[in-house]
Amino acid sequence: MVGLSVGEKHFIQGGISQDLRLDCRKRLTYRPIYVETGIIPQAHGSARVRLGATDVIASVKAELGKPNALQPDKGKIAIFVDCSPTAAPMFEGRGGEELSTELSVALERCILGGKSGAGAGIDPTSLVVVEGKVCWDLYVDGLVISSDGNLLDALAAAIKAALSNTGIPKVDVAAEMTGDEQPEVNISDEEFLQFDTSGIPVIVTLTKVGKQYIVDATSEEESQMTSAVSVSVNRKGHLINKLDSEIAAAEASEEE
Amino acid sequence: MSKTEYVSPEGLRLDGRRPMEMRQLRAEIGTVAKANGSAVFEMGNTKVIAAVYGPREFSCWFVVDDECNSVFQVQNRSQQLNDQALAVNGDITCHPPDHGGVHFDSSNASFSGTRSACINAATLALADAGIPMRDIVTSCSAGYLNSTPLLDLNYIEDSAGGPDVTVGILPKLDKVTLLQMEAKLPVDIFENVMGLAVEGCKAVANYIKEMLWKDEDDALLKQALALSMNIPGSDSSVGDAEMSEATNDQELAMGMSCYLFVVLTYLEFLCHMDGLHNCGSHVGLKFYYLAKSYQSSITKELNMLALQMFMLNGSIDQSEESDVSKVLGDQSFMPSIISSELTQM
Repeated sequence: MVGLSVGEKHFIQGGISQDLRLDCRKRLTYRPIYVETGIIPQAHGSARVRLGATDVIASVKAELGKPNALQPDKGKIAIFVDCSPTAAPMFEGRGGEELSTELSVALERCILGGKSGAGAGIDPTSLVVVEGKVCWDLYVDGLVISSDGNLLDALAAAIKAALSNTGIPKVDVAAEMTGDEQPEVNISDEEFLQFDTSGIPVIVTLTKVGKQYIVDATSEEESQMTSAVSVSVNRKGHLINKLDSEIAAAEASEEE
Repeated sequence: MSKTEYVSPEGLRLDGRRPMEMRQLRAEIGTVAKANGSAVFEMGNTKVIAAVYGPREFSCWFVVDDECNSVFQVQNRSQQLNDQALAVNGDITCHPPDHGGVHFDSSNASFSGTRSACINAATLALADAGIPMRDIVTSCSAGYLNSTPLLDLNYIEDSAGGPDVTVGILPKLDKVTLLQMEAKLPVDIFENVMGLAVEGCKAVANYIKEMLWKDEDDALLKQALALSMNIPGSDSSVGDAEMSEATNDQELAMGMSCYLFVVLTYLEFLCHMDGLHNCGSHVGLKFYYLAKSYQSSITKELNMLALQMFMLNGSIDQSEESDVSKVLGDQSFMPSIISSELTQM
């Protein structure tokens, strides 16, 4: 992926062990984060996050749908990530699929919590319009435009920003319907509801290079890593120490 | 919905534009940090990002890729470059670029407009990467609704089911590289609509030129552009081949003319570097080859330039000199020498 000579590898590793990285950062310093919201006018919410040369876009689209029969009191949220070939030529065709799936699954686990809904960043019951009949389906899309390491952190930040930017139209339900009929709904053009996004976690990935851990690794540094651990933390500080089996998967995912 | 008024009695369209008005254009180059060349092109709310990566092995594909779900939707397309232009280019450079583009688009954006925006973005990205092009390729769409030709359809107009014509042109050479129509139109109306689309293409071309011209810092870009505007594509055989390829939906043509200029700047660059005089002769050879294969009125001048280059480089060694004399003496040796020169480089 990243072609480095032996000298370059040593230089990266040596720098990290001396707490001075290639771009003059210390081990635990992030690159400056730029966040821009509302960049896609047609989406209900969108955000672009740049971390150095890493550039991702997240957008949220809401559609009225029918809740799952097993969970009539919950709306549906789906997270997809796409690694576009603009990020790297190797993502062309199906090349980016593996990474995309990996990122999507990791983000779903972090943001949507476990199967029981424990640790979810968004309360799915807030998406229900009429119980068992109408709910909002949220489609959260991440797009990797340029990749220079630390995609997971950037995507999580972008999704958090996009959800904070999201306004869901207010829905008025017409008079009560009988039986199985779908109620008629009236979608407001003017009134929007905002999400409570304070529960959405932030992901921090620690990458181990040599004997030290660094944050926000570039792709050169990632090529030298031996392991990485991603931690998703919400505002209440709930994280790995609450390792019951369901949340454990959401909180810590080990790569490689 | 079938009788929707797409043009109001006052002559305004749904989004408030007049029939011959384009959506607002916005372009930016160098947006993808890691790519060799990249651009964002916006037509109204349609936004396209294109990136050029290269060099790599000899296979050149244009991929416009996208997400199938609700936000980053739109159609998949892969477009192969003009075979002939590519072959010429590949011979010379040995490293044709690889291009991966992406566009994301949303429900308000138009499909035919998307295609146009993709082409425009790809052009800009190629220019940003300094890739030789015969001319910048620009594209625009037009349609016919409520008995009115409309320029640059938006999503609503495009999904109305009326005829729409997407045209891609080489504005300087006045050649069409793409013509796509997805419904039937009487010939006289078609001519009107296509004429409108061509005007749109020219407007886009002007915008792109202005935009690239403003970019004072990038001298190479400027020169490449100047070249694409100054050297006419006088090699008619190449032009014809391109035209026939165009029917196969091959939207971007890369020619040689720009390459001359790029080589020229490269040449100057090398000459100014001490200790690299030998390289100059390699470049000179390439230059000569270019001049030969580009059989036009400028051939002689280019020959002279190439020769001057050899003279300038006092440190050409004997073997190279003999190569040169062979080249100059017998044209049939050309391909083999060129290929050997290229492998040396």
